[in-house]
Amino acid sequence: MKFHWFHLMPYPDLPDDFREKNRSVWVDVDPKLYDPMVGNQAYNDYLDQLEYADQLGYDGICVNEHHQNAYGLMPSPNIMAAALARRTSQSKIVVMGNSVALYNPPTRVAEEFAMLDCLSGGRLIAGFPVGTPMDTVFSYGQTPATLRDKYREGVELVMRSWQADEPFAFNGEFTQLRYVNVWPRPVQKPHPPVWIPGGGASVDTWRWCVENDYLYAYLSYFGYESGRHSMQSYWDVVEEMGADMNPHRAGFLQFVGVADSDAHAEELYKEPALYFYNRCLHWYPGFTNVPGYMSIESMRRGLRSQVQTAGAISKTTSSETTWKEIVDKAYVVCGSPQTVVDRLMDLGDALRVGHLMLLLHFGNMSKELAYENTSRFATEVMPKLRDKFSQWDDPWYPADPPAGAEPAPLGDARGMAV
Amino acid sequence: MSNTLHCENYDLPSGLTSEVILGGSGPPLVYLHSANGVSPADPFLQALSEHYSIYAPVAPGYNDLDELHQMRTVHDVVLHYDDVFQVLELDSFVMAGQSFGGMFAAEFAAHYPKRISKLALLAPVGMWDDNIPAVDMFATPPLELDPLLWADPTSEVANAAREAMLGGDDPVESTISLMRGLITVGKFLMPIPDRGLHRRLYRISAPTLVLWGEQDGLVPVAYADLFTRGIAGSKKSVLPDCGHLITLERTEEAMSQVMRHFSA
Repeated sequence: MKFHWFHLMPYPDLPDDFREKNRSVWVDVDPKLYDPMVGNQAYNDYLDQLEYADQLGYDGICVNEHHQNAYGLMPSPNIMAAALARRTSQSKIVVMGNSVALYNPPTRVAEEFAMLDCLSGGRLIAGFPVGTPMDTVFSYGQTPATLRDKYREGVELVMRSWQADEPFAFNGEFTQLRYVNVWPRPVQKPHPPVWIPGGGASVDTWRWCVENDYLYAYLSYFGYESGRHSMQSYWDVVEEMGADMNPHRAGFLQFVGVADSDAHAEELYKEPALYFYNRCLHWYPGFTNVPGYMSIESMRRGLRSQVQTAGAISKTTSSETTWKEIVDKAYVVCGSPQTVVDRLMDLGDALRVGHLMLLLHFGNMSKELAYENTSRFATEVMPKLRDKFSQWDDPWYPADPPAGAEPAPLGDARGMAV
Repeated sequence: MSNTLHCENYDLPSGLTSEVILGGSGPPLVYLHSANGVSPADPFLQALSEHYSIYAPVAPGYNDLDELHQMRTVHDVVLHYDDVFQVLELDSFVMAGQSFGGMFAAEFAAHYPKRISKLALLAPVGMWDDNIPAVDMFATPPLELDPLLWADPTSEVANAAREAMLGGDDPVESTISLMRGLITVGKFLMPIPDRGLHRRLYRISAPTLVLWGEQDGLVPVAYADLFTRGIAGSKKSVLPDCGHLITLERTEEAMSQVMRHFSA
C-alpha cells in the first residue's frame, strides 16, 4: 500500500456562526471573510507540512484544484506543486489535479505539468478531474451539457501533445489549434502516470479509466464505510471489462487521526473535524447537483438503486454533524495506532485500494497537531501496512527517475551543495 | 374538448429525427415549447387547434441528448427548425413560443423574418440585464424553484403540473425526461441566458405580441420591455394573477390574447 499526504488547504479562520450566516462555503462565500494575512500564514504553514511529509517518507504529497472555495485555497495547484518541487526530493508530487475543461487551451495543462515533471526530476503524477459542479459550472461558467465532452477532448489533447514527436494540428469540438507543440517535454516516458479523481458515481468515468489504464481515485469526505458500495461498483466494472484486479489501479481518500488512545483522539481531533464537517462542508444544495453534470446513465442508476450519491453531503449541509457520527461512520479513522492500523487494514480489504490519500491535516487543525499526526502515522502506522498488496506491481506510480535526473533541492542559491 | 392532437416523427435531411405534435384545422401555427416540454394533451394547443393547424416540434435534445452535438450554437438550432418546417412544407406561418421556446421563436423570426406573419412571445428567455438579474434556475433546487413559477403555487393547476412532471407510470423515467430537458435548456441559457438575441431582434418584422405574467418569479416582467424596445412595432400585454407558466396558469386568457393578435 502507498501513502499520499493530501492537503486541501482550508481557510482556517471561518467564524463560529458561519453556518448560520452563510448559505455556502463555496461559489458565493462572503469575500469579506477572507483576510490575506491569514492566507499568508496558511499557505506557508501548509507548504511546510507537505515538505515535512516528504522528509518522513510518504510516497506522495498531494495538492488539488478548487475555485471560490473557503475550504480549498488552491485555484492553482500547479503553483503549490512548483513550490514543493523545489523544496522536496523524495515524495512524488501528486497534482489531483487540473480540471482540464477550465484551461483554454488545454495544452496549458500539458505545458505546466511538463514543467513540473522537469522541475521535480520526473516525480509528477498527473491528475485530471472533471471538477465539481461548484468549480466548473458555477465558478467557471461551464455548461453541464458539454462539460464532460470538453473534458475528455482536453485530456485527449494533453495526452497526444506529450507523446507526439512532431507538431500536429488539432481540430476539436472545443479546441482548435493549428500547431500543437508542447515545450518543455515531460521527463517520464511515454507520459507521467495519470490519475483520475472522482466522486464515486460515474460509471462512464470508470469505464474510461479502465480503457485508458488510468488510476481511479475516489475522493470522498465520508470515509471508507460509505465508500464500499461505490468502490465495489468500480471493481465490478474493472472485472466486467476484463482488466486485472490490481489494487493499485484505485485510490481512496481517508481522514486519519493518530492518538495515544481512542479517548485521546477525541480530545485532539474533535474540534478540527467538526470545523471541517460543519463549516467546510456547508454547501448550498442548489450548487451540488446541476442537471447534466452527471450522465443520464449514472443518474438513472442512482435513482433506480436509491443510492443518493450526494446523500451524505446534503445531510451534512442540512444538519450539524456530530463527533459520534464522524467516528462511528469512520469519516475520520482515529484512535490509537493499533486502532488506526486495524481500520486501514479493513479499508484496504473492503475497498481494494493500493493508493491511500490521507488527510492528516483537516479543518482548522493547529500546525503542531498536524506535525504530530503526520509523524505518528509515518512511524507507528505506515510500517505495519507497507506490505499490503506488495505482490502486485504498480505501473500507476512514477518509476525511478532516469539516471542523471536530479530531484530538487540541488543546492543553495549559488548552486553550491547544501 | 376533443383531443385533436397527436405525435409524429419526421426524418430530416440532417439525419436527425424530429417529433412533432400536430393536428387541428385552419392556417398553420407553429408553437415552440417551454423547458417543461410539450405533449398532445397541452390545453393551450388543444384550444388553439380549433382555429389553427398546430405544429409543435419537440426541441432537439429533449428526446436524445446526442442531438445536442449538432446544436453547438443557437444558429444550429434555428437551421434545425428550418429543416423541420421544410419537411412539413411550411413556408409562411404564425408562430408562438413560450419561455425557452419563446427565445427560439424570436431567434427564428430574426433569422427568417419574411416567413413569420405574426409572432407571439410568451415570457421568453434569452435576454440579460445586469440591473434586473433573473433567478439562476440552474442553481435553485426544484422545491425552491417551483413556487417562483406560479402566481398561486397552491392552485389546482400548479399541483397537477407538479404531479405530472415527476409522477407518471415511471417516476424515474419522468425525472430523467425532465433532466434531459433542463440539460438542453442549460446548453443555451448557462451561465448567462444571453446568446446574442438582443443583437438580432431588430430583424424581426412580424407584428409581435410580448405576453408576460405579472407575478413571474423566474424572469421579471420588466424583461418584457427589453423585447418590446428591440422589436419595432411590438406590443406588450401583462396578465394579472399569472406567473411564468402562462399557458398553464392562465390558459383561457393566453389563448384569447394570442388568437386576437394572430387574427387582427
